[in-house]
Amino acid sequence: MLPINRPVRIATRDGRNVRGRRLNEDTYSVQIIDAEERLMSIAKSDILRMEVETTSPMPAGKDSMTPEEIADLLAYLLTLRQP
Amino acid sequence: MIGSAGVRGATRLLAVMLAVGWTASGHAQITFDRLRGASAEPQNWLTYSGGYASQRHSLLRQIDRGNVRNLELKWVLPNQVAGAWQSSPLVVDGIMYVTQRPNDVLAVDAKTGRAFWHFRHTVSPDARVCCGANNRGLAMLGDTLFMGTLDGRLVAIDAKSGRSLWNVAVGNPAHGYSLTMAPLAVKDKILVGVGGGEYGIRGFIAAFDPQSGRELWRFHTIPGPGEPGHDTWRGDAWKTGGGSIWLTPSYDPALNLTYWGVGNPGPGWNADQRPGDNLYTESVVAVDADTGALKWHFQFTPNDTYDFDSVQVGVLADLTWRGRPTRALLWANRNGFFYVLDREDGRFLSGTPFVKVNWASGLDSRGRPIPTPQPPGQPTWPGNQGGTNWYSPSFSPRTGLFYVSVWEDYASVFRKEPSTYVAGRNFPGGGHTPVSPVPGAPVVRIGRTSPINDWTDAVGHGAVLALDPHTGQTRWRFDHYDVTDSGILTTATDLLFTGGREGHFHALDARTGALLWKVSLGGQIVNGPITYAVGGAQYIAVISGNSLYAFALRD
Repeated sequence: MLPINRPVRIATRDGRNVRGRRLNEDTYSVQIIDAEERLMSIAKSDILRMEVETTSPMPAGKDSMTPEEIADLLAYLLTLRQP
Repeated sequence: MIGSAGVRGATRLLAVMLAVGWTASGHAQITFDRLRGASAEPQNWLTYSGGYASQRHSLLRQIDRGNVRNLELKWVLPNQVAGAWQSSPLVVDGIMYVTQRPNDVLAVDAKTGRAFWHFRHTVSPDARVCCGANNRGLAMLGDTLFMGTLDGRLVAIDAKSGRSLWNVAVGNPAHGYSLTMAPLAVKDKILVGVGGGEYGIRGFIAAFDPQSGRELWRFHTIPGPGEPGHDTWRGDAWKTGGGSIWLTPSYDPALNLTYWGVGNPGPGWNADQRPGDNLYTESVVAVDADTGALKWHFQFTPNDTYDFDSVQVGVLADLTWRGRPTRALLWANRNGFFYVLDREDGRFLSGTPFVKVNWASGLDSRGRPIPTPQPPGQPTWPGNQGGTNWYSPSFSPRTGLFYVSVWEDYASVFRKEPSTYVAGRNFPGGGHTPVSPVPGAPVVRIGRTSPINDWTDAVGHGAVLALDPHTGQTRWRFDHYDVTDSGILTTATDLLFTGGREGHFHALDARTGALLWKVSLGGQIVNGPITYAVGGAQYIAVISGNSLYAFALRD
């Protein structure tokens, strides 16, 4: 995951807590997509606190599947590739 | 006494003026006296940097800290050519003259943005430029505009008709010589310098007769055999030694000296091929405006291996230095140090890092860096694009502060490679890789080509710093998320205007750095804003992306 696209937690000055994935950022604002796939642009002047997480919100799952199941999953994913 | 014939002539002239709807303010030729006294007519912007001292500081006062929030867009001039628009316009008696890629000139009404004429120079296919089809502007003297071209020529253009008056060769484009800087008119001469440092040119500065285009003198930034400084080269390395000129010099009329920033040596990253200090690369040279004779030089980065072109605009400021009136030259260098020099003799007064620096541990008592080259593969601060670069700083005599756009937290890993000189081909001698804290993540690149930022401020970000020349310390800072290539304008009402790659254009309080106004223009701002007045209104003009925007207070 690119650093610019890492998960962020934002607490706004009006009391909202937002979690999402950062899509873009500049001096005055940050653009994210939240867990409900809502696109949000938040002015930094409205942000009380913003934390950038270095781990993915996806569950790791590496111990919950056997090597054969992982191979099957990969094979399935490869079938989704566009011709 | 005016005779009747004269009255009839004047009446006819007035009738013609009215018939063609001529409404511009009084037109007068640009003389050396007007250029020397540019600050006394702040309604105009007569040189690249607004005046010979290159302070980019205007005495206009209509827009101030109290009303700047009432700025509104008055007009837009779109450019039909893509790419970084680095030009800084001139404004003369209500007419704006601006260059656009590759070598066009437009004359527009500074009040409405409507064009009077459009001059096009067809660039030779022989032209070679390392870093884009850039042109930074014009000079004007009399009724003539002067523009350097990418194919190494100097062109004189009639400011009224937009027609070419003459067009002369300055350097051979097939060997990499180009002109990207705005020329400077001094007395009866037009001064230019050549680009092409990445092509192994032998750089020079030259003066031309504004009437005929005849070359009047030439100063080589790489001294030849028998000339002072030649012994800082070994063998034939001087022949391909680089030393390009990108930016308009400053000029002190009292000393009759022009101050030129000189670019990198060739090949840029491999000093093994050019042992020695490599004068006058990475230096400022003080050159007599009448003769081209070198008065003094100061080298910022001897035997450079980092591409720390010293092409910045040096700013003239009269200071009381340690209790003595001093004609100072202020210089924030790409190598990360902010220098104060005595511009009469080039004496080093102080040098202070303004960003993180690890290629040198400091400067000695004469201003020579104490080198601390990093092991191969390790990061060097500042990185290849430097702590700052070619974009113009500003100095406000009111605040006594020097304002500069900088890149922070930005480093590169440099590498050297053997390079063979072939005329007209790139002659790099190595390269560099910007450093990212996350391996493989996108890093800062040259220019902004997408509205999506794919790097974070961790790999480098911009800031405006307000530096105190007396201490070298930062009085205040204004941080950008992305890096910035924007120049800076200050005014007599303590406003500071600047932009950045994100396309935001901001007005700051020059005393505190507080944000007073901003507008999102969208496209990268890679030039210096200017200000002027026409029809009783003060305007602020800035280029963002492919358009030039003019703002004034709400009617």
